[in-house]
Amino acid sequence: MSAFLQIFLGILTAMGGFVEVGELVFSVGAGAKFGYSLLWVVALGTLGIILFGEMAGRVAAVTKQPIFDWVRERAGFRMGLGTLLAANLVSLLTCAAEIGGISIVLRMMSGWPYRLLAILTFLALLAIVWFFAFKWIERFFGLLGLLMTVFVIAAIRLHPDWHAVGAGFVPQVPTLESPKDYLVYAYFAVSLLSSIMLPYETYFYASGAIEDGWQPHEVPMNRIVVTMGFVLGSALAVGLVIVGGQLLKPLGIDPQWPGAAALGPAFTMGRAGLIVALLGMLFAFGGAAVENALTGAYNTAQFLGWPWGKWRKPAGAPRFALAWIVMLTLAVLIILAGVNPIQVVEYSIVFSVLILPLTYLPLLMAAGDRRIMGAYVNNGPTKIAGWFFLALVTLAGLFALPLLVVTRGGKL
Amino acid sequence: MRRAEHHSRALQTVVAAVVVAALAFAIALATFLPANQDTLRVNLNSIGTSAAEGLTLARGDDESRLTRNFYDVELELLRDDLDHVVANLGHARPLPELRGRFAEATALAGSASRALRALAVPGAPAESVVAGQATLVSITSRVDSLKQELER
Repeated sequence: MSAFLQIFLGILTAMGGFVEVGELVFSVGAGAKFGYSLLWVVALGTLGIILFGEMAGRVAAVTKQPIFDWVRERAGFRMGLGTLLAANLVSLLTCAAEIGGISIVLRMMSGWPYRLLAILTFLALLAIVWFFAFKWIERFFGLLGLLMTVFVIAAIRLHPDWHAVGAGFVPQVPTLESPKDYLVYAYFAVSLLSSIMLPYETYFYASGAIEDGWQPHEVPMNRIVVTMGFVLGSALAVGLVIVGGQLLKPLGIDPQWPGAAALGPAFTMGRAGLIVALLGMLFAFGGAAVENALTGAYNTAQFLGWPWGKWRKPAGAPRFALAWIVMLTLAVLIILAGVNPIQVVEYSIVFSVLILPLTYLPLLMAAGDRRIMGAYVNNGPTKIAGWFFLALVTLAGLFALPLLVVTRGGKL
Repeated sequence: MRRAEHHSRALQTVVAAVVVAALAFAIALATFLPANQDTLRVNLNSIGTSAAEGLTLARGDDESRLTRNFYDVELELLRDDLDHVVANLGHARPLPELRGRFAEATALAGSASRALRALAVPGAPAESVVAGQATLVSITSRVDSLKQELER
């Protein structure tokens, strides 16, 4: 495959895989509650995920070591184990939320019972991960996730005030009615940032780079793919915020379910828009479910030194295969137990921000170590940006849980 | 290496402390404190948004913008939310001065759920659909007034 086509497909895949159920819920919710005033958080989160995504790919290409090798090496077994358990708990919750989201979307399309659809979703995901090669899993969900661009088209057709949209990218605290509204604003800012910088994205990206056998000379391609793919992907999140701000906010709708977001395409493009939106959500959530299940398996296998990789047959890496099967099984059991997937999303997003510093610190230190990285070590601006984002996510992590409790999950 | 271990240990300690403190605070809040204005506000928000979304769905259905399955499932999810609100408010131990408002909110949630049920009946007579929509309009308006009263 030519380098150009590889870059093009990589960009599209990164774009299509950008949005998952948590980001959808928080982006539309942020727009519905606060109009465009949280768009700057989308921009900030995108810069953060580009920075750490690129770093994860670069470290993987140069050292052939994934993130959890670094976690164990830098933090030691006992402390690293804490990070592993926390990261896998978050991936499990996220995977459960995605399976719940898929089941809701399928129910909206078919009218079939929710629990039956959750079981069918589980079986379908199991089959896809079992039979498809890594590259095809990535491309299948990433490229079909591009149907989510219907939200960008809906946003444009809702004719927003583009001046106000532009002003939303400037960091701000808008004037709100009551002190409690400021707390809800802070909760949405933290959750939106976390939903964009979800830690599984870097774990998965680094593991994927090793699966694909990246070499140091591919570092510039990695940079282009990450930057272009995530910037275009963030356009989907911006589209969702605009749908929330332009359509749902004036109607007094604070979206409780993913279907509320689909009203944007439905009211601008009719039934065809609605169906495309539901299909886009289906593949976007499906991709995230698979990525989280695999991430749990990658993390565990890398930390414990088991053979891992989708390029190996399940018999060649049996404990790795068992780990992703267990992740998917536990996730579907959570949903079958009757837990509201949207509440699971909220918890997974908030717990994610708690473990972001634990993920990014070892990565930042590895990428900044000249003995390991040689010519590919972090340069000055990358170092400064890396430490800035580490401080930012640590600060966000400190406030995330108290804000979740005080604002009652942003519903105050 | 030691410095990295020290950073990592400090971060994990901070994370664990925040998690424990927030969980303890949440449990104390849910267990020991009576239902206050915030509890009411959260539930009023749920009632208001469910009613508003129900109205929007009805409009979308009138204009043939929605598929039948989507419409039915969304209405059912909204009804489930409202039924939870009724249950939550029913179990709440409100402050004495808020008892009347809690009772009114419970009644509003119940009527919103019934109105959504009326909208969901396939081939329902136009009068019952119009009556359901009118109920939802009056509920959204009353919820807004109650929220404003709480702000004062």
